[in-house]
Amino acid sequence: MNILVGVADMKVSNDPESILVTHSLGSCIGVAVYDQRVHAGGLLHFMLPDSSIDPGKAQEKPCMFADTGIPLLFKSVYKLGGKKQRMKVIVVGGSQVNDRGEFFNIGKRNYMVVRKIFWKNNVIIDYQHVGGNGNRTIKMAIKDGHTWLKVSGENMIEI
Amino acid sequence: MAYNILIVDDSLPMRSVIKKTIKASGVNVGKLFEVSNGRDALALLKKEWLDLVLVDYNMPNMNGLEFIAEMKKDELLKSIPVIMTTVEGSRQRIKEFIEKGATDYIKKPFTPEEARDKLYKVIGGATDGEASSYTGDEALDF
Amino acid sequence: MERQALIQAMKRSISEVLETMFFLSVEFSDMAVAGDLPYSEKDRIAATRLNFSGPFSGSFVLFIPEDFAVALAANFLGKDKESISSKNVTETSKEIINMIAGNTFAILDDQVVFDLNIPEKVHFEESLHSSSSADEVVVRSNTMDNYFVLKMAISR
Repeated sequence: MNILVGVADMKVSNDPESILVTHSLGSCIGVAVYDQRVHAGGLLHFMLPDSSIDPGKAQEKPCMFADTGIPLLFKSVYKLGGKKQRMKVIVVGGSQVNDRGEFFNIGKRNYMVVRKIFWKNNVIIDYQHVGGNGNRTIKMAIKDGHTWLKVSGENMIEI
Repeated sequence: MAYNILIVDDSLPMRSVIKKTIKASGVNVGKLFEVSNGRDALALLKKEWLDLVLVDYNMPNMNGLEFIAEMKKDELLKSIPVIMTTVEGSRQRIKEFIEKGATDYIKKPFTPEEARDKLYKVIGGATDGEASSYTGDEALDF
Repeated sequence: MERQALIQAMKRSISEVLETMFFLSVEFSDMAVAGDLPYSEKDRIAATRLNFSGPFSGSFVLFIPEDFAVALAANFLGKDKESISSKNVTETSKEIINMIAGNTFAILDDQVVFDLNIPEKVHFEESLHSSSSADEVVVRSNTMDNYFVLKMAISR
């Protein structure tokens, strides 16, 4: 059964019936993690890199920002028995949706900050599909961690 | 199996980066050593059992190629796999590294993912991701 | 060596190095000569030089404001700024120039071998102006709130 993850949102699960899914990943980034041993995983859809621009908002909606959302994602999966060293990590999104081609575009900044946070916390990415101009959808089955990606204009692929 | 690994690089921060990458890679690390020059590395190799050496090419006094040449002269050391880390991009140089005995190379700048893939390629295979015995002292957020 | 090709290679190299190991995007702005750096900056800028030889010889000099050098070292090491030692800052700047230089040559022509010397910390004022027997190429890289300048001086 599909569990929808909205924008600035996160869901974790160890229910084998659940399929976590999020749409409209433009400049936003989707981070999916899965622990094969305990069959638990999570999906985060964040919008902005740095919560210091609005700490009040970050308290209220930590999933809006990479620096508050990513730790929350991992810690929430830890609560379901997940261990960082066993977790498969997938990162998708970070498109340049701004037509003006602004250099410090948010998609790229989001991706840079994911890599920075991961590096600080000894996390290595197992699969990524980032950049470009399209919108992305990602879904992950909690039963076995199988994950699918769809980029706008293309077919859905298993990753 | 736990791998004993030696890092040889005159740059203190680069040694830290390589150590951190090894820790994050999931490779089962036994002992992890770091030295700043080839001479100290050779002395250590005579005392400790090592399964892999990562050596920087551009070091003062003894560069990575000269270090590998010394290893190759020794019966016990010559079969230890060596990964050359380097900013070199010229095909001729890379070819020379492999011809002179480097098992593989990691070109700087590198992502931790690229380094991990090279480590697995040289040591052989991924692990099941269980915690390695190597512990660092970083303050992690999660 | 064609000037435009050099500038493009330097810019591409800088972007690759910074994005790969320092998690930063930069944009570039024009700068005629490194000597255009204001004298008022001399106390906050550290300079690092790397000499090279090959089909042509010369040096790279990297000018980085100290606070930016600390931030870069923190990103590189995956630590908070507060826990970075000054030795790590200096050594990281050397690694930066090392990687940018090596990568620039790899981008320019991967069939050709250049020899890179060991990077060294140098005096800001002494390194600002190139000798009259050198051609100078300068690239200024900007982040949202900081910058650094890379100069390549080629001996004629």
